[in-house]
Amino acid sequence: MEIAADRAKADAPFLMRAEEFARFAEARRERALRLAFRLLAGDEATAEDVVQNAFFRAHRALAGFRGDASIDTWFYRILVREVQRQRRWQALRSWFAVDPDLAAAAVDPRPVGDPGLRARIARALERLSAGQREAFVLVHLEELTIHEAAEVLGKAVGTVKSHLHRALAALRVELGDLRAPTPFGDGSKEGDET
Amino acid sequence: MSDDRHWLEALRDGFRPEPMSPSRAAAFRRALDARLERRARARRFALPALAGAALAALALWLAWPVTRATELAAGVTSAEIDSFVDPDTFASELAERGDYLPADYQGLALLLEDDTADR
Repeated sequence: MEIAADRAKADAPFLMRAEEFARFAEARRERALRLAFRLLAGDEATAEDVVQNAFFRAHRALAGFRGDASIDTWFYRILVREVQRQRRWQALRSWFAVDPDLAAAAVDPRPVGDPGLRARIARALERLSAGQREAFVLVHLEELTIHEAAEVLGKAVGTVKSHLHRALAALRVELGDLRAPTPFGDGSKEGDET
Repeated sequence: MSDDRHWLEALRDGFRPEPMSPSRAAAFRRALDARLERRARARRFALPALAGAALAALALWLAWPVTRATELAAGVTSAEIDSFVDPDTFASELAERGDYLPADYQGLALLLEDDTADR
């Protein structure tokens, strides 16, 4: 697991130096961008802004980092909160927006892979609740363990499991046709969300 | 289970952002560096400015009451302070000066004094 193999807590004081922080940000930029992109349902430009804000906040909060969690868990928690803040802000803006289509036009049109598939996955993720989406993205798309995801989200392990179960059930219905057909049927099983 | 694994892999592969091009990555770094530098600069100037203002306010606060207290202290003699401390001394001094009673009462006092003198 990438998150567990990252830098030790003892490194934190050294990150105060600008060049060390630049290295810290450089090492996590791509992954942070991917996580934000997935949590923001495919809005690449906003994901970049959010990641930048998260690095900025991390730099500001670094002096207060006590080393209770790994520095990555700590940083991803900041990132997830930044995403949540962004989503609240977007919801507020769409509430006051004159043209709701304009406010909802968030998915980046740049073609990466299959744009149609991307849009479908984004839509399916958008239909999940925030908790379900976060749990699903962290565990199944970013491949964190349930414990790591719970730590990042600041939720109980049982809550995360429950979110995952519901998210999987919903996505199996929405995106079930993306499963490769097997000679043994659709192969879906309950309780394999770890 | 394995079917879910393939399905999830398909979702992971199908739903990822384009890797940052070197120019975009450089722009990202520059923007972040600029924000951090702005913050560092603000802290460099804001902290000394705040500390200076606080020191100036403290100096002003200390200087103002000290001056007034010194002036008051210089105008008061130790005898006057003693008279305030001892009310009898204060009263007798006023009696000597004859101005511890209002004029009407001083007139009455004179009449009484004359009266006792006549007896």
